[in-house]
Amino acid sequence: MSFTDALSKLGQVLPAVKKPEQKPSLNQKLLWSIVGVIVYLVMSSVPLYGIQSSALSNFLLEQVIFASTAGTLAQLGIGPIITAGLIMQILVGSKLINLNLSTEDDKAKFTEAQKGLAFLFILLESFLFGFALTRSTGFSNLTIPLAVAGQLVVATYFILLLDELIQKGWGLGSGVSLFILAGTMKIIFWYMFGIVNVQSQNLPVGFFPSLVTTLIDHGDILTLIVNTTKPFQPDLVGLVTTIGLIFLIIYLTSINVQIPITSQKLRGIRRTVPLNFLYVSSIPVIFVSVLGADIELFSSLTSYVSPSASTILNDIQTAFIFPPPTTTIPHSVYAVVLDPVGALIYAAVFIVLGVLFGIVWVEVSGLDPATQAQNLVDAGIEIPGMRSNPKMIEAVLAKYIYPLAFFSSIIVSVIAVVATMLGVYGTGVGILLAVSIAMQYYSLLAYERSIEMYPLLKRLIGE
Amino acid sequence: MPATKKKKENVPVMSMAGLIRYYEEEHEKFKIDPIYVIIGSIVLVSIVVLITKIIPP
Repeated sequence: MSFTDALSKLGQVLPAVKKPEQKPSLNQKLLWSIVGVIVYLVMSSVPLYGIQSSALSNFLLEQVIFASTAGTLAQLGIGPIITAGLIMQILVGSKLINLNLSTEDDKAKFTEAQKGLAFLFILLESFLFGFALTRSTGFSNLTIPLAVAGQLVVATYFILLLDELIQKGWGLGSGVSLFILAGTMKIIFWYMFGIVNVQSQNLPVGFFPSLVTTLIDHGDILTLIVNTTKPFQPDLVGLVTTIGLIFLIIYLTSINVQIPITSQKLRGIRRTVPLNFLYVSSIPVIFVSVLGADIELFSSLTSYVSPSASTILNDIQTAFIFPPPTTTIPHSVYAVVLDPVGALIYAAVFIVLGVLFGIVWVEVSGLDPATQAQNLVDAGIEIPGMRSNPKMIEAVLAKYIYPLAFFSSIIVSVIAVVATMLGVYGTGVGILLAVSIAMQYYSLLAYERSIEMYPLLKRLIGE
Repeated sequence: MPATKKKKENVPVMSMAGLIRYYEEEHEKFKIDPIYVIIGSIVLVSIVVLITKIIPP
């Protein structure tokens, strides 16, 4: 039995949410999605039993990409799910695991193996966390650490089921996306309106409450424009960049590259097929961030188990985080001025990995020229002046698809890096993800609404 | 219609956060109703909150 088969068998024996027998209405889907997100947010605000305060803090990148909250039932967030998915996709995309995702059996095996691997990550991370807790707090017996690990296993498995519930058709879109969106919005809201006072800097954590306090106390307003000293102080440059970035992403998402086509079914009428300019969307940024966040997570957890392994991971980790976690320099323009070499290394690593992951994603997700050419031929669509031969259409599409994948990977990676350096609220990665997820949800809602309003459309699109 | 049918089968169930998952075929042995996932999560939260109040660590 291969490793994939073993993971798939494990995925099959784990409890799963059943699929709806009838497609739920839009209102029912909205209700399930909202309930799922509320339950997730509640879990991310309930402290784990056995921890007085947050024994291990999460880095901002972990909070954003894993939608996790330190010291709560959502300590691991969607980390195990997203890490398992990333590993399986890369293994299949690079042909290290031989699965043919055009067959039903292999599709099912792929999904089950992802779930099995996610469960193994839940166990590993939960017990590592429990062990790290024993070392960091000096518990003499194992009762509390085991209780913490147990809570994490159960809570994270429920998070997996909540995601499955939404993804299997009870809700809209995917749970993982909704949890990331909700988590990022929570961070942005906190950065803007957080009223909790940070003792070390004697100001509220949110930009607007800080502004009011500074104006009343006749404090240093310049620090609020560009923060150069306080580690937990969002500034005006960050706020303006956040708003600008939202509009930039919306604009870039709306740009399409048009490919001329003719359709046999429509009596040879000439039209164009749009290819999104951001062809790989925010995927490269997600993958680089997941890798970075996992290195951060395992670096902090292994520091209690194997200091030497932790040192190696710590060195790698510095390339994924800017400014470095060991400094108290704020996440802002000031950090770039202070450490330009560190900023350059961070940017180079992020962009190079972003391009690599973008190209892998095109191959693994069926966005490659061969699959797209076959889809066009199956739908009776031709490119003017070309015979209806998949190989010829593939050659034409390849001229558009690979440059688009390459440049869109560079663009999204540069946006994420620059935004992070300008101190964007919720990090550049978070904003990029939040805006693209929100836009996809807008399209999904419009689609679901039109399907409900015009049932004939269902038959036309083969639902 | 065959072209439409084939196209539909080729479309992966894609998560918006970069995860590809397919749920057309199901081989899972233990299937639970979604309401029990919600109830289970609420029960877990309640137990943790109650124990924290009753037996502070």
